[in-house]
Amino acid sequence: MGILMEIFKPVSSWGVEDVRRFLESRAPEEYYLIDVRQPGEYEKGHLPGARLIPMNQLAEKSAELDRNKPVIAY
Amino acid sequence: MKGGIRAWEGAVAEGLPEADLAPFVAVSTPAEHVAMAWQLEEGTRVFYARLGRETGDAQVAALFSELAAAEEKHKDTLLAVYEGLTGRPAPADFPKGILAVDAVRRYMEGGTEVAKAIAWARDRTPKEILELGIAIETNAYDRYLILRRELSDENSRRAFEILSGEEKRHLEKMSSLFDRFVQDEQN
Repeated sequence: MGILMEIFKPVSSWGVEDVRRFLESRAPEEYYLIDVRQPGEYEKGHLPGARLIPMNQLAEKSAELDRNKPVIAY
Repeated sequence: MKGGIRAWEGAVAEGLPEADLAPFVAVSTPAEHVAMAWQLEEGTRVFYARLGRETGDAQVAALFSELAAAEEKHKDTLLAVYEGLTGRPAPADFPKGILAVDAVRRYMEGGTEVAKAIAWARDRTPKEILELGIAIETNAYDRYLILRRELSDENSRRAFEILSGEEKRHLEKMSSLFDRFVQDEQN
């Protein structure tokens, strides 16, 4: 879990309203909105613009993320 | 996010009732994605134009008529993006031959066939139709946000930035009208 802790360290657990306000106030290029569920769940429905990175691929895919950008995961 | 997606009370991009997602799986290249987006805009335009004429509600008719005109402009933007990506003029019968989708079965955003969506809407209230409209616009917004992120060409990215912004405004207009119907029901 070391690398996951490193990625998510700056982001505490936000409520829905905090997330909504954040998304409304930023351009999509300024953050990562990540759906960590399985592909089938993502296909059934996801937040607009969310990027699919299932939990079991997070460690591998985290290298592709810019660590200076905030990450919102659900 | 606390509570995950179940706690989210805003728009969620999801397939519409009776959605057939098979044609979407076959799309892979950027040009194919743009051609598919064009096809979906056309299907959605047909849906809005038809429902705009058929609905008995003046506010829904005005909004759907406005949205049908907007989808036509989106098609022009997408055609320009396609030509920019491929470096050649689009064929006269665009997007036929580019997509492996039967051109007769016209799809709209969310993966539903237009004819099925129109048939579904015939027995529905304006509020229910708006609910479908919100789902359509959320899917379009999602599609353009993802294309905006995934395409490396700067001109394409700029085009999808404009398109995603417009879809977001459509979504807000649709949601605002939907809220008025909800308030009317409560009063």
